[in-house]
Amino acid sequence: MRALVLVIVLAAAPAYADDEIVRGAVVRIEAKELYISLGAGRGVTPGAALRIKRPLALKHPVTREIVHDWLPVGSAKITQAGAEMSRAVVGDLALEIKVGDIAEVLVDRPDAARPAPDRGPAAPPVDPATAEVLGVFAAQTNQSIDVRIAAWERYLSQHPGSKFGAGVRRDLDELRGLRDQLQPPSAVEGTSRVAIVAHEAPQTARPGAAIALAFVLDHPDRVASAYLHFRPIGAPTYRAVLLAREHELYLRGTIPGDVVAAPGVEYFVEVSAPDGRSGLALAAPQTPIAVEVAAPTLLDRFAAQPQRSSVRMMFDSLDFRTFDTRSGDRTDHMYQATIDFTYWLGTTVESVGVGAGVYAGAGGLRDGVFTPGNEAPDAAFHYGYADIELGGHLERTHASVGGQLIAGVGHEGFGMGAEGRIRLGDRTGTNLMFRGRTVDQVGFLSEIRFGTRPAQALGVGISVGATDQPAQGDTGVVFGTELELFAIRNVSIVARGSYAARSVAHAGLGGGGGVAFTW
Amino acid sequence: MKPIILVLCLAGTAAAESVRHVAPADAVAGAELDLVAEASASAPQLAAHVRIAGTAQFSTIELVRRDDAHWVAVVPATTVLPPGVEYYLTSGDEAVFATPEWPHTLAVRLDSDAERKSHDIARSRARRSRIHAQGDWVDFGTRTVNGTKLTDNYYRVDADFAYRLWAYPLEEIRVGYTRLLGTTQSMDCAGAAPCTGDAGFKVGGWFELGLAPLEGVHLDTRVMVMATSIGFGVGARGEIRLGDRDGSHIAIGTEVMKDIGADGFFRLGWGTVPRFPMSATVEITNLPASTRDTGIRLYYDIANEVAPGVRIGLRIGYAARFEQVAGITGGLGATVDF
Repeated sequence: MRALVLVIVLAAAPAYADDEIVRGAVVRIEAKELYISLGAGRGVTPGAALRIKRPLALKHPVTREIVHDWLPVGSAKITQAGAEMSRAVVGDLALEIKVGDIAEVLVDRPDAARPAPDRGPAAPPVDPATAEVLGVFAAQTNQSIDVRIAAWERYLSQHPGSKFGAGVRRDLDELRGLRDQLQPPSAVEGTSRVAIVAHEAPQTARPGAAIALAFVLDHPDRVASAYLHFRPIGAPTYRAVLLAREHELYLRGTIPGDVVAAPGVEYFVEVSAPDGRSGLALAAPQTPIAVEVAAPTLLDRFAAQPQRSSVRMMFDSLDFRTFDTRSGDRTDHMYQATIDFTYWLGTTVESVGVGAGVYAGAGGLRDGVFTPGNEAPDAAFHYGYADIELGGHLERTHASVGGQLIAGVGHEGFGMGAEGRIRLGDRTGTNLMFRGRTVDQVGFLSEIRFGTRPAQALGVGISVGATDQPAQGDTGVVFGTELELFAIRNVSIVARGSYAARSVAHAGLGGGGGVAFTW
Repeated sequence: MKPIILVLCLAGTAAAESVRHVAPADAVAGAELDLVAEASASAPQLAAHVRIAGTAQFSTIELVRRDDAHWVAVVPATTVLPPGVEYYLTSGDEAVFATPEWPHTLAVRLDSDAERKSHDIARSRARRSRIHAQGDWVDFGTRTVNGTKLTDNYYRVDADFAYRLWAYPLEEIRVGYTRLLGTTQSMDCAGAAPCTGDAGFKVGGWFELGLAPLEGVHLDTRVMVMATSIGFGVGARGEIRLGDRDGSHIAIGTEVMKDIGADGFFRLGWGTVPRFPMSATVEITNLPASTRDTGIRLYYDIANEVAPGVRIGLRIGYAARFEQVAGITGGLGATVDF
C-alpha cells in the first residue's frame, strides 16, 4: 500500500478585518493573577480576550535555520486595564505561565486598507522527500507540543533512513525536553489503551541474541508512532526504542542482545495518537510480556573468561626465639611455601582451587633447650590441597564460607588435614576472616584476619592467630601484617611481617612474601 | 476576522490492498513452518521469500489459499534451522510485510537435547572420535635401609579410543588399554631384610561410559580387567567432572585395581590461556601395589594444540610416600580428534 500525503496550503495570508491583536509579554505573576505589558494605551480594555503563548525556537528541518514559533499555554480575559499594564485573573493557569511568555490581546480597530499581497519569489521545486518533511513541519504550526512530537515520531518511524532524520531527532529531543519542563515525565505518559496491536510473543530467547518483534496495528489511522519499552526482568526501569512503521500496518523493532539475559526480558508497547495523546497498545509497565531466557549452563559458567584465573606463590617464615635471651639452644622456627591455582566462577560457588605446599620447621616448645643427642623435634609435611569457597550476600554484606582438604606426607608418612574459613566482606576489599586449619604431623592454626584496600593499588591485612605448629608443640600467638601491592597489571606483590611468641621470653620475628598473577 | 492558516492533509492509500500477517512467535528446528496472511481473494499473488539467517539468497514460496481470507506458505523443514529464519512477504511485486533489506527474523529453537547436542558439536568441532595416549613415570624416591636400596617407582601407559554418542545422558563411550609396571617394596621377602619386587600388570583392558546427566556435569565410570603378577584382577574407576575436560573444569575421582592399589584425585583445569589448556592435580595413591604405604602425587599438566585436532601434553610433578624420600613424576600425552 502506498500512502500519499497531500499538503495543501489553502490560505497563508491573513484576512484583514476591524480587529487587531496586540502583542506584549507577561511581566509578573502573583498568586492567581498575572500582569502583562499591554495597557489602555494599546487599546486594551477590561474583558478583552487574552491568549498566552510560550515562545519556541525551532530549526527548519531542511534549511536548519532558526524558526520562531509558539506553543499555546492558555487563555483568559483582561480583568483590569491600566495605562501601560493590564491585570488578568487566571486562576490555576498561573502555575503554567512563566514571566516572558507572549501575551496577545484582541482589540477593536478601524478598518485598514488592504495592502497588496507580496507573494515574493516563487519557491524552488523540491524533491518528494523534502516536500514530505516540509509538509510535516508546516502541519505543526501552532500545534501543541504533544502533537508536534507525535508528528515527528511518525515521520521517523516511517522514514528511519531519511536524510533529514538526524536533524529531526535533534528537534525531537528538544521538544521532549521542553515537554518535560512543562509537565514532569512519567514512565509512560498514558496508561489508557489507545490502540490494539496483534502480536505473537516469543516464550523463550537465547542469551545474547537480539529479539526481533513485529506488531500489526488494528487501526493504523489511530496511531502516529509507537515505542517498544523493554528491560531485563528485575531491572527497575525500561529502555525504549521507536518502532519502525512499515507498510502503514506494521510496527517493527528489536530488543537488543545486550539485555537478553537470564532470567529473561519483558516488554510492552506504547503508542501516540496523531493528536498527541499517548497510551498503551500491548501489555503494560506493571504487566509486561515476559520472555524467558535460559540461565547459562554449567559449561558456560566455566567458560574461559578474563580475570578469572590466578596463581599465587607465597613463602612465609616464623621464628619464636629471636628475642629469647635465655641460654641454650632454643630452636623454634617454621617455614611454609605454597603455590595455589584458583579459578573464580562468579556464582554461589565463588571459587575453586588446587594447590601444593610445604611445611618445614623445628622446635615448637616454649622452654625447650636442645643439645646434641637431644635435638629439637623437627617436622615437615609436603602436601596438596583442594579448595572451595561459597558465598553470597547477607542483606548488604557479602559473606562466604570456604575450606580446604589437605593430603600430604610427613616424617610419619601419609597424613591429612583440613581448613575451614568464614569471611565477611568482599575478598578483594574490606573483609574479616575467621580461619581454622589443622594438619596431621604439623599442628593447628586458628586466625582472625582483617583485610582492607585503602588505595586501589594497595591491600593491607592484619591478623592475629594461635598455633602449635610446626610440630604440635606449645601453643603460641602470631601477629601478622601483610601488604599487597597491585602496581603492575595482572600482577601483585605481597610482603609479610610477623611477631610470634609462645611466652614472654620466647618470641621472635618472621616474614615472607610472594607474587600473584591474575589473567 | 482573524488570520487563518489552513493546512489540509489528506491521507490516502495507493492501489495495493492490505495484507495482514501476524508473525509467528518462533519456530521449531526441523519442523515445517506455516506463514499465514490475511488478504482478499483478489489480492495479487502472495509470496514468501525465505532464507536461513546468515545466508544471502532468499527462496520464494508462493502462498496458497487456505480459505476465503487466509493464505499460507509452508516453509520446508530443511530451511527451518538455527539461529533463525528471515523472510518477507510480497503481493505482486510489492513488499507487504518486511522488506528484502530488512527481513523479519524468526528465532528457531531446538528441543533441549538438540540444543545441547549443538553445543557439544560446536565444542568438539563436530569431531566425534578421539584417540588418546598417555605415558607416565612415577618415582616415589629410593630409600636405603640396612644397605638395601629400596626403589619405588612405576610407569603407566594408557591408550584409548573414545566415540561421542551424544545420546544423553550417555555422552560417549571409551575403550582402552593400560599397562602399569613398577618396582616397589615387597611384602614377600626371603628374610627379615626389606626387599623390592615387581608390581603391576602388563595388560589391562577397560571400558568406560561417559555419562552426562546435565550439560557440563559428567560422570565417567570404568570397569577394568587385567592380568597381574598374582593372577586375574578387576578394577574400576570413576570421575565426576564439572566443566569441559579440555578446558576449565574441576574433577574428583577414584580408581581401584585389585592387588595394584587405589588412588583418589582432585583436579582443577583451566582453559583461560588460548590453545594452552592446563590443570593441576592432587592425588592420593598407593600404586603400584595395594600393600604399599599411601603417598601423594602433585602434578601439573599443560597441553598445546599443535595442529587442528591434535594436542600434545606434558606432565610434571612430585611424588612421595614420606617427607624425607620423594621423586619426580612426569609424562607425555597425545590426543587426536577426528
